[in-house]
Amino acid sequence: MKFDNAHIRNFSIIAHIDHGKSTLADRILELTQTVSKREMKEQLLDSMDLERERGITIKLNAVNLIYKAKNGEEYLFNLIDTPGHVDFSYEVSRSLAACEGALLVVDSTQGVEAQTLANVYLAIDNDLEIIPVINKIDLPSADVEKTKEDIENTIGLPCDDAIGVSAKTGLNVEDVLEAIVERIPAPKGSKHNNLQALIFDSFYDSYRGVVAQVRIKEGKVKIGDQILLMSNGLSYQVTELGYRAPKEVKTDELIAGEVGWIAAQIKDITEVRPGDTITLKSNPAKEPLPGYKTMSPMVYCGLYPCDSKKYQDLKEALEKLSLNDASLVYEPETSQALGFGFRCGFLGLLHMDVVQERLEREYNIDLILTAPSVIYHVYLFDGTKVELDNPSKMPDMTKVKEIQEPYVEAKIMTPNEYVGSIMKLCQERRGIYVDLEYLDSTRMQLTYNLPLSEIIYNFFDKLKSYSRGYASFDYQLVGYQASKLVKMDILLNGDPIDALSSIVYREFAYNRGNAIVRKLKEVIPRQLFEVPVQAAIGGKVIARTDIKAMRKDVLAKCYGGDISRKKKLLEKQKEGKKRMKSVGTVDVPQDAFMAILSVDDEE
Amino acid sequence: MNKGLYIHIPFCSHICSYCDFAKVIYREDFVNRYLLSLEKELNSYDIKDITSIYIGGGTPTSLNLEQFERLLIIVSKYFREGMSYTIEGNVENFDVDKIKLLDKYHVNRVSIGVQTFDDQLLKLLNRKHNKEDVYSLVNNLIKYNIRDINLDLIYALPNQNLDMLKKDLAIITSLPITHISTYSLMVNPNTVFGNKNVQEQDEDNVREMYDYIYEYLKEKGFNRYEVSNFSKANYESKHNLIYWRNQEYYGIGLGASGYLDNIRYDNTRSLTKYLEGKTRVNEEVLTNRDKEFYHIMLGLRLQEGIEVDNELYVSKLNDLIKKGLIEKNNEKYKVTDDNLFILDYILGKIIL
Repeated sequence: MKFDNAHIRNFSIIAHIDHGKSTLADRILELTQTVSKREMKEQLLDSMDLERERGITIKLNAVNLIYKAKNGEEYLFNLIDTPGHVDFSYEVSRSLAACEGALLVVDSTQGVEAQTLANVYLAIDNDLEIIPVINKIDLPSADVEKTKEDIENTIGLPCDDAIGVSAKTGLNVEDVLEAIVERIPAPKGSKHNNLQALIFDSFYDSYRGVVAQVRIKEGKVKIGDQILLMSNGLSYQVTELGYRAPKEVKTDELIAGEVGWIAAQIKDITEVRPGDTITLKSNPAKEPLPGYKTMSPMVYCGLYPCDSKKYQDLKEALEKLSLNDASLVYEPETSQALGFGFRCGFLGLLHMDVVQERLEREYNIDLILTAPSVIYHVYLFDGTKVELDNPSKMPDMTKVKEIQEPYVEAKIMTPNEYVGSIMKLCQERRGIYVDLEYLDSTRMQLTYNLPLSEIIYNFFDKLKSYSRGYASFDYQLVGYQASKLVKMDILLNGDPIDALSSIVYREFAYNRGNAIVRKLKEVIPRQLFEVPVQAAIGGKVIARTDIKAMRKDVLAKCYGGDISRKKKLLEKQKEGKKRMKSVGTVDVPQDAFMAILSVDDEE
Repeated sequence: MNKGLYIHIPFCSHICSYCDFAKVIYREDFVNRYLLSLEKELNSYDIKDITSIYIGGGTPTSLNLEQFERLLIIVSKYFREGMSYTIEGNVENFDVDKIKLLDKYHVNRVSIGVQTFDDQLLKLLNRKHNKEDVYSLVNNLIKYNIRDINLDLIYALPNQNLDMLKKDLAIITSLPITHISTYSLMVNPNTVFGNKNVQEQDEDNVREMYDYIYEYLKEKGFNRYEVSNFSKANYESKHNLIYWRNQEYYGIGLGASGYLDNIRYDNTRSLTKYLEGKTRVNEEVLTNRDKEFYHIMLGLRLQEGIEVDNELYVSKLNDLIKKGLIEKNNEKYKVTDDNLFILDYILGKIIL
């Protein structure tokens, strides 16, 4: 069934984790009878296990719904889902660009959170009509008036016509659907103009190649058309078109205002970037849609199989994962300590976490991750510039003129009483104060410029503990600045372990070196011989501790009844040992390489 | 075909703070019923080819005199000339009347849970004797013809230091005994110590004590023939050697374990079920690979060492020889003297 533009509404839902986005989406699917209650579980927008477990959306999905409004007419709703984390904010902005409106869901028991704020601003940037929806009004602790005030004060969004709902019980959800019809503008654009289709997501399918999710802004596209990707000039012939309702429905053409997918036997997902514009080769648009950016990874780490025999499996798994994740980059690297592996780039720490978990869970590969690093710009005296994503590859310091590191602008929202301790934390992390503003009578927003490397280094945990969990933050890259940085090596039994090298701020080196050697002593079990653990800068040892030799590891009593039990125990320990890596003469547990991130300098 | 016969008596007059064996507080009527079940279980086996009998516990001497004699009558019919026949007992209820029965029913070895001679530590362990009681018990045993005597000693007890241990060792070696079994305190869950969250001593202390024990007992003529067992020449525990040599044994009684016809089994630890006639609850059927591993796991506990044919294991053992952890003499592999206390680490390197 085809709808004219006046009867199409494209919208998205913006909400903080736990504020009820998925529940509201479920209710909407039910009310529009897009899916029956019975199908609900498998039809949810979030399809990966990991997404369900963590309550976050990683990949975007879009569904078409048909709603019969009170005015008696039927409307086509395209609900475009967005990921909810700072690592994915570019993807969020692209999917918002595919909409004319957004539902802002705020939990009436919690108020506005920093993450929501970031996404609302993205929506405002994209000129979206925003409908505030105040959720969980059925709960005794709900405070609808305070929440409205909160939204007005922090976001500056009038809340006279905010809708109070309970997504859980379904209360007033129909009012939301009516508001979508009445308040969200119909898509503009004409099918007679030249094609401009915004790619807001893509995934790889082994039969169809890359499938691009698109919003047709102008013009139309038909099966058989030669399409052109405007950022890179590549062209393909359209083989399939369709939309999700939420099952896939194939169609012959997509026209301005519609949301759907295009398949064109594209083999490489990196060619189909979110934000890019598709047009027709024969009759191209004059300009691409605005806002296209190539996304570059912010953090890098080494990824090694625990069992070196699994290198090939890891390679294949990364190939498969990257088919559906254009922002995951990797290339082979070799570590003396860890053998063959890959240096991988991620959008952020959550992205890294998600990839690690998928590799371990879906591909069953035990991994060793090295501590993540940012990309340093190293300028040498001979004029060359090195982009360093692996601390162990730092050039000889005598050749280095200057090292620059990436800085981010971090916005931290916190109840007033924690401002002092959070400012202290930011100062300790080399933060440069930018701004402090009142959001309302109880909360403030702090803005600091901070080195990204300091954020990677347990900043989030610290922030949470300094604010008893109340503060939240968001950041974006603002550029590179020169810093006094040095490479710190870690030596086990006298041998430098490349996978444990890190780049540290010179003034912090002594404390951090001490903290790291103490942490390693804690996580590395006793060995056959005493093992010195040292931190060194340029060959000079700055911190040392010793892992004592193993003195007792025996079942003293072993008689008739103990024998079977003992064998089982030894077998279990053997399984545990598989998660150890022999590094030179020392057996190092898998998580030791990440442990250096969780050390506390002040202890 | 040297098999052992192990019989478990779970009853105790009181519960020691560290004990995690199958045990039950003594009750006269339960014991009477228990002895009936025990006899039934013994009769269910065609017991033959045995070279040793061992009655352990619990506390076999917690039985009253009449029950104690009935136990000996039931078990002694399996005795043949030349066998080692051991019974365990506790100091506080090993009275002269029971001692007099031992020789009559062919018991020729006694093992006593002494644990320490320090009155404070004995109290902590909830043991009800003192050191004078131990002296008179040992004298009485010898008087009534029991000359092969083992004393159990626990070290690295809470607050025990090396000097305290030295005192215990001086006393124990002054007694006319043939065998000492000595263990560092293990705190297991579901024991009094476990519930009280008592901590084991740090591994450096434990090792220092163990090394001291080894040197001291060697000097006093006690040879370490197994990780925790020391004996005068030719007084090794023949029964326990059956376990470590990976030979078969019948396990009879509550919570007892046995190894027969390629199967390692455990009996129920529920007294109610045992009295109803239930015996085995777990059985592990051994593959050749399991048997080989048991052979190594157990045999490396022994001073005498073991022969190994399987090439996979031989190559692993050879790696360990290079590291000085294993030595090979007369075709037998053994753990080097200094490294017996990290045997589990070594086994971890051998296990396939």
